[in-house]
Amino acid sequence: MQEPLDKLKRVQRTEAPPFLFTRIEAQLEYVKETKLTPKFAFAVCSVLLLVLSVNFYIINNTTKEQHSQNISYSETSLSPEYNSLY
Amino acid sequence: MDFKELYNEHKNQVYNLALQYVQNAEDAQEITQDVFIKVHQKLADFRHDAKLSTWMYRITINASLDFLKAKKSQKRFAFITSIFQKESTALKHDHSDFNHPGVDMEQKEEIRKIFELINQLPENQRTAIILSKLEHRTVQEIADIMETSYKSVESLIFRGKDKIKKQLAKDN
Repeated sequence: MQEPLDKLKRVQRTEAPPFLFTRIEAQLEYVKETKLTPKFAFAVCSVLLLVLSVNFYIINNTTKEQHSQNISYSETSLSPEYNSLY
Repeated sequence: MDFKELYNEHKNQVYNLALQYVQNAEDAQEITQDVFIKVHQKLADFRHDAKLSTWMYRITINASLDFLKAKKSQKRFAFITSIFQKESTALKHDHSDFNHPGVDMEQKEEIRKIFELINQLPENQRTAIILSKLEHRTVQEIADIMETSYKSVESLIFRGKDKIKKQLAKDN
């Protein structure tokens, strides 16, 4: 029984289209002009992410402090009333 | 060797290998462009610890597999879009018709079916079969390209062929 993959011997090699190099050159030129290399884009995103994380941390901590200050204030304001009961 | 010389020496190797993965001339052109852009960016880092052609094969294989994964995600997105938008044409424009320029019209259907079976194999088996049966690389060359052992490649080829035979027997 013939090997089914033997039929692939009929697949021929083809030439890459001649216009491909022009396209590649154009793309390389574009990257050079915009300087938007993948490394640069990654660096910018990393910095943005770091700034956002720091902001989130600060806001979160500030909110917790305010909340605990509010509780302390409530406790202080209530205490004279408690004292008056005794 | 300057970039243009390198391109001229390896363009057909890259293009034909990409074709074996995607079986579509336009997609293979896109992959070939991506490969040579990467090569241009990484050429300075190439440590010559492998042959240049081996290195080019690796970049092409990775670029082809990445292209196919991205296409699969696009199809999934298009399917979801088509559910929510009645008039969406996202699914209707499938650019991945079988359009392999190395296949004669008379044999197109027969060869297309075999490629369909190869496409269903796990990535490593698929790569081993493509490099062996379509690129006519020796087992040792395939082991160098895939950075694995001779025995692993033999096993991958054997398992790939076995799966294809079983599927063909099932279909018949």
